[in-house]
Amino acid sequence: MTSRDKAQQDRQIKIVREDDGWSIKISDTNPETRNRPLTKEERNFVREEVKRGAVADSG
Amino acid sequence: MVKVTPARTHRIVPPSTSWRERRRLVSRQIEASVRWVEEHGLSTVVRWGAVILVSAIPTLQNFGIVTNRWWLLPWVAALVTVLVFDHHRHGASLIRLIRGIGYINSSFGGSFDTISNKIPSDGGCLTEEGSQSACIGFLHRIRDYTAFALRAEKSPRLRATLAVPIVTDGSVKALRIWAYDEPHSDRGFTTIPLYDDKGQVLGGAPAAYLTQDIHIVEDVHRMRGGHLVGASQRPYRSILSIPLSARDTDGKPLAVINVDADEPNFFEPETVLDRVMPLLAPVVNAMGLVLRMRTPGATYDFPR
Repeated sequence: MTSRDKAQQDRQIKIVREDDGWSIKISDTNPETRNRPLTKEERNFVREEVKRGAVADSG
Repeated sequence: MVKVTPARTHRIVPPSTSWRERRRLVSRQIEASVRWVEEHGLSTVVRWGAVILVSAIPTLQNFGIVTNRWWLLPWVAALVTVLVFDHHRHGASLIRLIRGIGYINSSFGGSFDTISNKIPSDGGCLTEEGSQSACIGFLHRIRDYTAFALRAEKSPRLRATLAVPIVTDGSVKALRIWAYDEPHSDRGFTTIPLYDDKGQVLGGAPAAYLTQDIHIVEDVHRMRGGHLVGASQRPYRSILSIPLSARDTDGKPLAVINVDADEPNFFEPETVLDRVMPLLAPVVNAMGLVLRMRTPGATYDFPR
């Protein structure tokens, strides 16, 4: 496993639907990888979470 | 006798260069031409015009509408245009991207230079005036980077602000805007309470400060609690609140950066994470460094 793979595993993103908008928590022990662009898997995850939040909001 | 100087000709390829160098030079010339076409908004017209010619001429010949064999020349020219255009388009886009980021980055570098000159030569701390002017410069870069990342150079109108904690009776009860990216005519150095009347954390900057997460407010006009004075009248509708990663002694962010847009629902979680934050991270962290370099225990000054 490369250091990049390890870094990708270390970052966790949590998206919560709030009353006024969105809350985004990024958990990453390495500040150098904390704000890098999303990977394909992360992008899919974010899209699903946003879709789920929007559905819950309208429901 | 008048001495006649031969007219100078512009050589695209200088003599005595290797084949590889000649190829690179020609490639750069073509890329520059493609970029010129794109910058003048002609790329779609040129490409589609060439594509239509490439497909239409053989079709018309097939039906006997075009019989003159000289129509082969525009067909070949159109085909070469399409091939060359597509081949060099990526290079031209890359140059445009680099120039866009380079424009903001050069100003970002200048902001660092300003800070270096504001630090006292005897190794002291940054003054109120020094730290505020440095933050104003960084806020300007934050607005520029956000506009670049979200392709909002012209619309919607963006604004970046820095909200700092206000300590009352030993604890933080509110945030207050301490710096703007530029001297906006409608700036009010607004005080933003952290909690509503029921003691619940308010969205946007207060939530970002207390939870240390990024917060997006979709529409200020529909905000719970209406904690901003005259919220329903405010021209800036959506807010992106980013807490600084630099912390105070209580572990709370030193400040919260807000990027406001005069359009509701402008910020989306995906674009913020994928495009905005990677560009903003150096500026956000640089601002944390500036606030850390302020005189210890110094309070923030606001206009009366």
